[in-house]
Amino acid sequence: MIRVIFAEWRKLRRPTLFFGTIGASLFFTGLTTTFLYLMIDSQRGNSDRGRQVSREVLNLASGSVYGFASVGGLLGIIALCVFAAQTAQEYTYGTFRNLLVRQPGRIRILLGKLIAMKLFALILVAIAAAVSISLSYYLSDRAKVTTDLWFTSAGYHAIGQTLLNVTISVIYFGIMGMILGLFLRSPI
Amino acid sequence: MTTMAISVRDLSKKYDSGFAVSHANFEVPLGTICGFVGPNGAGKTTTIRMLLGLISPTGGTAEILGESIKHPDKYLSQVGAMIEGPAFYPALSGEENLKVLATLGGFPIERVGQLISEVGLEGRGGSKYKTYSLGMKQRLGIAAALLPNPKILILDEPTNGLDPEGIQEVRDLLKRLASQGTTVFVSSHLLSELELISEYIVMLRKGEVVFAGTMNDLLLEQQPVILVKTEKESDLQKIIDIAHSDGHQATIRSGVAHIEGPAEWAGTLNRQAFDAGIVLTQLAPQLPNLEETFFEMTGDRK
Repeated sequence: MIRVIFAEWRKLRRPTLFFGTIGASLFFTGLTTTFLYLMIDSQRGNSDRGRQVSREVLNLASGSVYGFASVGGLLGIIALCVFAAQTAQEYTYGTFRNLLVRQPGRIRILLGKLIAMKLFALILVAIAAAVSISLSYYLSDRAKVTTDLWFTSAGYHAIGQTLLNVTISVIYFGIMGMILGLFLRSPI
Repeated sequence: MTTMAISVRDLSKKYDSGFAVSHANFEVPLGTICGFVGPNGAGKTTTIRMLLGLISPTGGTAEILGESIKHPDKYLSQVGAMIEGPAFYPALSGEENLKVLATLGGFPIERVGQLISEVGLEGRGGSKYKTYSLGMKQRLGIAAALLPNPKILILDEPTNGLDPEGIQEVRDLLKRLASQGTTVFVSSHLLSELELISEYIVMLRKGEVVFAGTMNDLLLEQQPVILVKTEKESDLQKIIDIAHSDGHQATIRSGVAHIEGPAEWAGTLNRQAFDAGIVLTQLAPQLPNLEETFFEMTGDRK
């Protein structure tokens, strides 16, 4: 099993896919977080679907991860696309039979792929969280948001809780993507 | 300890449309090169897929290195294979593609560079697979098959897309591997190529094995032909008459008499021609080649 995971990781770490996916995640994370703080006084809203998130909400212990939580759904969609494409390509390119000749057992191969892709998703979520929290802290001053409660135990708890929720959501979307890839057998 | 690399008994694969492979029986001894031939749709790839455990047979059984194909995990680490053409990830380099397979199979990564050179891809190993020509893709496929340092190498049409030089290189590579003890089981539509390298041959037609044995046995089963040319073309008819009188079929084609008969009879013919005052300018006993034999046995010559 461990060999399947490492083999899959070799495919996932190729620069176009790795940096492309991380880049897309960071772009959306940065955009969402920046809008949240820079448009805090906008009448058109500063969060998803035009919702207004006030300073009072961002001042709370959970304020540091508000931007990150908002982008969780998008990260899920990105994971869905990556998981689906990585699974479907094995059938499109006919490479699955190569894998089976080296490692008989379809279930073992699919499980190994899933674990490797989950690791990929975890890295994605961790980087997005770090960037979003850092950006929130950087922009908080400009948006006149108080960060006193962000780094208390309640704040850390909120960070941990959000990280867990987003991770579960991303993995769920990823598994859905893998199932789609298995059924459709084509990344397009 | 088995002496057979591949042993197939009554192996069948039936789909809704009928038998893809029907009660196939053949054996391939260790350390030999075995050609696997048959027209398109004869069941070659289906047989290979069953041997590699990619699909299950509907009847019969087979053993690879003494292990049943029901347990491919017991023998696949000693088998190298390329089936239905090379298949790799286009966005990865040739080298990275091999590293993926080496990691998966638990083979030393250091072998990758060595194999890249062995199949003549040095200098292009770092290029993306999607930039490879068909011949380069085939070479990479062969390199991938060689990753496990296999006891058995199963190749499906390995010379597809290769230029004559590439074909010769593959032929030499297969011969070298066989001389080192690797059993090579190779399917190809280039029958003249197989004739040059194969000691064993398995011939398939419509899912059934029509011949399995040594190349010599196969060719000996066929009626040899003696080609005769005379100094005067008008003497050819006399040669035909001599052949007929000895009970041999004979025809004249393009100024050459083709007489069906054993090579030993050429001496008798020479004597009789001399007695009749006919001067022979050519007297050449010939065994039929694999291509002629193939068409003869599969009955597929249009």
